[in-house]
Amino acid sequence: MTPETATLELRGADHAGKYLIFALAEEEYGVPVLKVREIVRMMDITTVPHMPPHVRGVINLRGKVIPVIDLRVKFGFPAQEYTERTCIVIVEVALPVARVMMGIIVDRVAEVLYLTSQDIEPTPEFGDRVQTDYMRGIAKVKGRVKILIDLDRVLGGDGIGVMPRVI
Amino acid sequence: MTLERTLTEIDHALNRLACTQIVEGTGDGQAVTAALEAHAATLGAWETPAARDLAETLRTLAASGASEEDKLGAALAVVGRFAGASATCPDATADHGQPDACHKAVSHEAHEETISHDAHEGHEKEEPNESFLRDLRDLRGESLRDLRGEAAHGDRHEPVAADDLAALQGDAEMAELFIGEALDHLGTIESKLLALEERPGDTGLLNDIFRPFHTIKGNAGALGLLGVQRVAHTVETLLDLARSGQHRIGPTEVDLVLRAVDVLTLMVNDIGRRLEGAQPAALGDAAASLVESVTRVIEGGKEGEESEWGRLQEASAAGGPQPVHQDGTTSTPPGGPQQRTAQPALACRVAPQPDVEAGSSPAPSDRSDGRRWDDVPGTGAIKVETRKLDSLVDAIGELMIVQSLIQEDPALAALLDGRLARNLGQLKRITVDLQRNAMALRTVPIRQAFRKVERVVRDMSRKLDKPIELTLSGEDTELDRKVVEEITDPLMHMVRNSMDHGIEPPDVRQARGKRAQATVSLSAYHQGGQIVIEISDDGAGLDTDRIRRKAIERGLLSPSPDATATPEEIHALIFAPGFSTADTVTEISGRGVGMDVVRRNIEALRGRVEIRTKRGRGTTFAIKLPLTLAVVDGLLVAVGRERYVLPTTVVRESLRPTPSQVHTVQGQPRMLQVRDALLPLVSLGDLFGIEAIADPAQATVVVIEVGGTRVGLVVDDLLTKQEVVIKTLGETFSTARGIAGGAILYDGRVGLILDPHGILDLMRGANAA
Repeated sequence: MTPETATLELRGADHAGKYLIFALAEEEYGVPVLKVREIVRMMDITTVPHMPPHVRGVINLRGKVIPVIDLRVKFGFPAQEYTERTCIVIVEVALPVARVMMGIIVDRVAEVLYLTSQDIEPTPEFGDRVQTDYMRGIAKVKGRVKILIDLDRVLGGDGIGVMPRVI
Repeated sequence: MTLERTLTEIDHALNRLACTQIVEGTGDGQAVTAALEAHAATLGAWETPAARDLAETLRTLAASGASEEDKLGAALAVVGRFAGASATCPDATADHGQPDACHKAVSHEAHEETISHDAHEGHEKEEPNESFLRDLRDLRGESLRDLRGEAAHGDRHEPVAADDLAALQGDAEMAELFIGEALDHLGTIESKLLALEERPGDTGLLNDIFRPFHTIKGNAGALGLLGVQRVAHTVETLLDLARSGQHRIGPTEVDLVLRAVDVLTLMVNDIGRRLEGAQPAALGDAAASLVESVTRVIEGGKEGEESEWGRLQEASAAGGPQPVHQDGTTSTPPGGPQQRTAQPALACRVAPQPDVEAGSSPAPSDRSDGRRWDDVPGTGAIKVETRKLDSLVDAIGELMIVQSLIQEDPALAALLDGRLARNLGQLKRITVDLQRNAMALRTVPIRQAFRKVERVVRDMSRKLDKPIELTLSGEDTELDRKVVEEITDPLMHMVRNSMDHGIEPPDVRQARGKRAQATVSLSAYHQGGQIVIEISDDGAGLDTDRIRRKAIERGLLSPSPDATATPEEIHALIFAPGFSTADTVTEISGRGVGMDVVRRNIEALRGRVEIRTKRGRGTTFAIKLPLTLAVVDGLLVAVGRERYVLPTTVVRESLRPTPSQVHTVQGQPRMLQVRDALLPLVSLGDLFGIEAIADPAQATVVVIEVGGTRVGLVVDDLLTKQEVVIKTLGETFSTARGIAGGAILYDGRVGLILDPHGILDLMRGANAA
């Protein structure tokens, strides 16, 4: 998608609504609350061989086997030991083939925010260095920037490759 | 006289009228209108709402501006629906019945499907609008007109075009139902045909064959599948002549009908594939040539009448408002579609014959056939999507795990409470029971697969000129539906092989003092939590020496005389890819493709094949399969921090090798000596990139056998044996090789189930790299 169409899309679509805000390193990210099924504490993850590093493996969520993605690794942050505050956010993702549940590992969950259309700005151009097509926009709340991400794009389709850091 | 009886008579009268009209033309311009008014008047004698509704409908029809043909078509449909419904809902037509829910459903349905609501409400009785007329035509008129066209041209040899799937597009449930039912019926037909060949005069059997054809035709007609309908119709015509004694059934006829079953099976399967987006297969020619052959046979047997018969048959069943199943998940209501397809057709005989009813009430033979339960009234069977069953089985699998977690909990054991222990024991029994019952829901009798084999034996026996008797036992043995589907092809292949290679020609048999007619027997039974399917023949048995020679020729065995392969190991070589001892390649087998595929298919079902053979006496292949595909019996192995489930079906032995057993190649431990054999060693840790014990002499080796190859799998330790419920890992891990799925282990963590074939592929890939 070119930046132009992304901008157009953003203006056309209303992204206002509730967002779950979570932190990766010092950055804050947001996903629509409607996509979030639940948040669980870090648990034992079974590694699946021959997978890219950000695909951590699978967990047992009440009898369901669910893939878990480490968003830190996916976004190119340096790996870090899991802490007490590390969480797995269980989200529903629309892959090209089906809707599936996936877990994303985040450093900590911050809050749930209601963002109005005024709060949300289109993704700025960062040039070729930064991949932005999985970003829905940027929200500025009380001087802090929250990067709103489109999970279907982050986790779906070509989501196997590691994306370069945003900032 | 009951209302029901009156309805039947009106139904018959309308059918006779339709017959006359098709054969002789419309004739008197007002015959239908007059008849409808007369019937409405007759119905007026009943006070029930159903009768009143119907009378009203008929009058509306009579007064409408529609053509005579359209009126007749619609009337047939309405009366047919009422007559059918009266059997389901006796209250609706009972002489003093009250309007109840049942009645309302029936009359509403009938109205909805026949005339527009406006006409029903009586608002526009005088001025039937466009949609009313269109509805009428849709119902029956079009098909009547089509038939008239067909009758006029008499063109039966036109090519059979690929069916128009418009009616099925977007209604996957309906399509699935039709395809499933049609295939069921075709299966029934096939087995009955084979019996008919033995007893050509058996009218009961003829009826049993006629009925499913009729149903397929009716259902196909209702869904607009004109190709299927046409083929079914032609064959039905032949069968009907045979039923009425006007045509004698001989081998030619049986062959033709069998061919028809094949063609229809292909056509029906093709419909399924096309609905999934595939291109139509070119079946038109096969269908057309079949229709032509059948027509020739009919004409050879009996001139003149049959074409008329055929048209009458079609007239009645073609465009009828065949409900098929309104609700895809429930069973046919008693007297539902089955009855509707049979009645009008036969009503064309001026006086209803006793066997008219044969089609409407399922004969006992239907009931004895396990797969026809859905048509038997009163069994209360329902159809359930397999997806729902799978999630039930899944949930129960979890229940079992939680149950064992609780039972094994040391905190509970410490309580030493007798009552608690008893209750826990009870919980365990119930859970196990529940699991068994849930598993049974997915199972079907193996009969379906056996039927196909019956057919193969019959065809092959002729082709090879070897008289063969097939005996079956345990057809009712139930196993997972998917297993039955997947095992059919390997079974057919193995039987074909037995007949071609195993069984000697009759003269050779007699020279050896055997009966000229050979026996192939097929049996299925349970044994120790497994299903065993045996294919035995009383043929020549495997020639161990010859297999050894061939194997040496092909480099599969070492030619040195002191090579010590057991007879069992030599026999197993017939499953090697490309292996064939046949000196001549026949049409049927001997190309050496097949047996390796057979074994691969069986192993994919987590089963295995064993061979027992005795020179000159025969060979038995025993296929051992798991009861269900939902659960795998696994050996839990530890590798580093990870644990994997290895299906026990591939495990031959496990050992802790001594250093002297391990041989290195290029500095790496690559070979393991087990008794006389040298096995390649594969470290699961290396394969999966996990830190694990590197020295096999410090580790444990599990010897697995896949596709005839034995490999030593190096793991850190063996933990336990556990039955696990298989769960798919989903799309995310579709590229994961060597992994068949996931399972929740006893401690609640996910364990990965190993895919032995994939591991071998990985190993070969790693060696090549």
